Amino acid sequence: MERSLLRQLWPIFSAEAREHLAVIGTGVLDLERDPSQQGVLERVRRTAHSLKGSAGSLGLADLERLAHAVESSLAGFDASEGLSRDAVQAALDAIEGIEGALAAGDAGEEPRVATLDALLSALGVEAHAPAGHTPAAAEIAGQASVDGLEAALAALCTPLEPSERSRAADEAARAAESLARLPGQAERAGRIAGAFRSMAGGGEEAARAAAALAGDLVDLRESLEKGSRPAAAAEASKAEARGDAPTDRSIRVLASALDSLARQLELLTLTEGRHSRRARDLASAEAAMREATGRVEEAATALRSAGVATGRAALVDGVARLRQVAGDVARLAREGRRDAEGQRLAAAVLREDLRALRMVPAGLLLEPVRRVAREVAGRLGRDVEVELTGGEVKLDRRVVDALRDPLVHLVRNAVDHGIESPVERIAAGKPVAGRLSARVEPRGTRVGLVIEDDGRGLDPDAIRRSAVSKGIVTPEAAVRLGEDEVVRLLFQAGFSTAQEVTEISGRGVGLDVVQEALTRLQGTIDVRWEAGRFTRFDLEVPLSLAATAALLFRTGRDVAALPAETVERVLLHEDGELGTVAGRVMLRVGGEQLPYAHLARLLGANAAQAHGSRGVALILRHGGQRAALGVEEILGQQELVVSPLGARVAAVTHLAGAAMLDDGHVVGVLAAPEILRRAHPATAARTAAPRTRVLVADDALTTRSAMKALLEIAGYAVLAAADGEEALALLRESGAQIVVSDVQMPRMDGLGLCRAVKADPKLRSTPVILVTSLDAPEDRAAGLEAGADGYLVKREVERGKLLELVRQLLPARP
Amino acid sequence: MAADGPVDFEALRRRLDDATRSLAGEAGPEARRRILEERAAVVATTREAVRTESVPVLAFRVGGERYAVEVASVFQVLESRGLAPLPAAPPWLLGALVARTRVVPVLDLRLLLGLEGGGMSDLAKVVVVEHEGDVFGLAAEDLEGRIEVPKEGLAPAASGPFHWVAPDRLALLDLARVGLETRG
Repeated sequence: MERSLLRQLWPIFSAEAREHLAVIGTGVLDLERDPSQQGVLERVRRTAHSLKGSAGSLGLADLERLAHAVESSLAGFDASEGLSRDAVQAALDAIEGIEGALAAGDAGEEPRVATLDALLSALGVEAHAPAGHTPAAAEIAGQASVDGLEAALAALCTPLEPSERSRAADEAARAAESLARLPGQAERAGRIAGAFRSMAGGGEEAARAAAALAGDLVDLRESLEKGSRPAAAAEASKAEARGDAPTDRSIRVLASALDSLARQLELLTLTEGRHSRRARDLASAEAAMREATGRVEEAATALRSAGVATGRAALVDGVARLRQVAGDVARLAREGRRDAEGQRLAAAVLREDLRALRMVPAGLLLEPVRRVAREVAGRLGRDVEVELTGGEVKLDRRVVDALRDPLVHLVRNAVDHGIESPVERIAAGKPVAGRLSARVEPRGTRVGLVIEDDGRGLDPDAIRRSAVSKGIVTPEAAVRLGEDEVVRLLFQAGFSTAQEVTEISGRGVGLDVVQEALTRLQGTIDVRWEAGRFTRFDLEVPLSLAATAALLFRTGRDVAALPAETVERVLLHEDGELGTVAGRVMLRVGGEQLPYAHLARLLGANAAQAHGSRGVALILRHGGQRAALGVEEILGQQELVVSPLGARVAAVTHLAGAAMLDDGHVVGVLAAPEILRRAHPATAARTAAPRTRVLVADDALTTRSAMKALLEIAGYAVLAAADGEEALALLRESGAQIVVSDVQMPRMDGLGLCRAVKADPKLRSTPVILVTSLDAPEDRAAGLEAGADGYLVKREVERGKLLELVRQLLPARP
Repeated sequence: MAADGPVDFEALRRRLDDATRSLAGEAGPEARRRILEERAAVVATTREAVRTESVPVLAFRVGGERYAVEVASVFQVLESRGLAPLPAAPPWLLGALVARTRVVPVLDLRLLLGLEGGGMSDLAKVVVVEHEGDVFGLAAEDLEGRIEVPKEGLAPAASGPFHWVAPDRLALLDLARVGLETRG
């Protein structure tokens, strides 16, 4: 990383790193005290992971390695054993080491950890394989060829055709000879080449040579890795020596100073609001005064006509004085209004200036991409071409800060999991070098960050398997998840597709961190891929995090706000526009049906429910999802600065924060993504407890699929069978809470199935609904005689009758 | 002073010599040892005094019990009047209010600690604290004010988010854990 850039980013990194260290330190001590705190363990590992990421993105190898070592030292943590004294000490020493390096960095020195190796080995990490440095090209080549030689050895140890064997051995020997040019490796390379040659013939000699080879290869790898450290250091110092700092006509401003400015500005805006309201109050006081004066005058006139003279002069005098005061009040009101207006304009200009101050070029964000990609590619022996675009787009500094970690995670993932090895790429007919692009593109008030690689794409089946093996979903649920939903699993905590633990992509604390960062930014993340062609992560965040326009409304008895950008529109609806589709309440908006929920009830607030024939609904939109939400009353719109409520309130997921209104009152701001998630019962149900299972038996594929879809939309899990026998087998094997069966089917018909179910002591209590195209009384009688609990004609299925009946007959869940 | 026997001129001379030496700034071996011992004793007591120094805390009352937070972590103390409820908040989250320029959540310590109680009726004060950049309020019935708790006699708490408990049962909250552990 360029030195000037590092210096520019250093205060941010240093402050952030210290926060991370504090979290890790207290966390480790907490774990020592009470090892059963799973949340603490997770927090510490995650924090160490973030620290590793940001250190890595600045090229601070020592810090990155130490943070990684701390993270991995907790990987095998067992709550029943707790942390040993030594482990705690090692972690605290590592923190101290990092703090030392930070202090050095603060003083403008190189942030190095003097006792790195000792600290690493105390944490149980061998002091090899440096994580953060960029190996010199020769070393990368050397390591790659060691990989090749190991592969060749493995191949030669399997039975081969004699001709193929000698060819492979010869090839490997030549590769080994080429290693002789590496400094200090000539002798070992010669020995390895000789050993490969003697493997050409096979037999006992080959076995002896293989054993010797294995040892030599391990030594070779080790010495190459050791050798590359000084080389990397030399390269780094060369880069420093160049010192090619572009002269940028800008000054560095502490983010905290900007925050303070923003808060003061907000206070100013508040007083402005108060001023203009006071001016309005004065104006109405003036009007009231004039009205009262008029009344007094009327009374005076009445008195005069009644012939009362006493006190009349004083009365007239009083009225004149009153008129004068009213005039003064009117002037005060005018002046107040003018002042408030002037203040408002000044505040608006200030806000614009502040917004501009906060904006930094996206290049600052994209800077680490090339380096991270090259470094990971180097470690894995892959070839990657990086393309960066949109570096000139300006972004809120805080957005840049918050996106840095997610971006690095995604780039690492792309090179590690996305882009194939050169061999695979050639086999697939692709160019040897993988392509990785990161681009920033303005999208109105939001900005997109797209990371795309031309690798193998995602493998939904592998994700399913992995999710099942990690206990994130049950095997049955995994099978039923659509591809888009499967991909969502990637973002769940504790998930990683990496088969083995690698330093590069981390240990399953990757994509969930990305998701979390995006949630904090009110951003969205979307994944698109095509098997064998590309994977594209599309992140979208607001351009700026300063004041957002918000809609104020009453929900239940509370006042709440939502960011205006998440509210597509507000509408008054008649009762007739609400209806159920497949058992879900929908609101008809224009030509489409949107899921509807009464917000207060959705949030579980005790709302006094007196629903008239009309209602107010907000159409909420976020990340492609939409829903209509009923509220009591719209109160207005206001610019709000939303304060997050901190870690203690993070568990209250429907709250994004709170803000102060211009009358000084405080209002809760709702989290649109969470509200939408709750408003979509289909997605909510999937993450909930095991769902009710319905077995559907029908020999016609279309009917079967239609019923299956209908039931699944309503939130049930559906098992499908093509005839009675299959249905019975499925029922005995997997079980279901209710059976919906066609009457006419091959092998065993619906009546037969019904009888079999009712005759089986284990299944007897399972309700059976028979569905038939026939609607003759004798058929119905036959069905009931067979023990069916419900009977339905096919054309009634679509009309919601099926769901109604299923709901009626289902045994009450415990 | 009456002398009962012959005057011990030897002893007198020795004392006189000692006095002269100490006036001249040098002490005899006996005196030097004594002086050093005295100094050591003084130094030792000041060290001791440091160790028995007290901790400044802000003490308050909630749910009929006494709690405290370190004075250094107090952000502001407010009346609970400005507290606004948050939509569909759980009972332990009483609402939010403005502390300086920030909007901070206010927590019900009674519920966080699994005690009886609820509602704002008798919570008149809010102690706003800052911990690791997180600012939040703890509702209180009454403020006791700043007090100095001698470090001597502090016992670690058996359970709960406390640093220690004083002999008079004043419990110092461990802000790193308050509201992040078990919720009652």
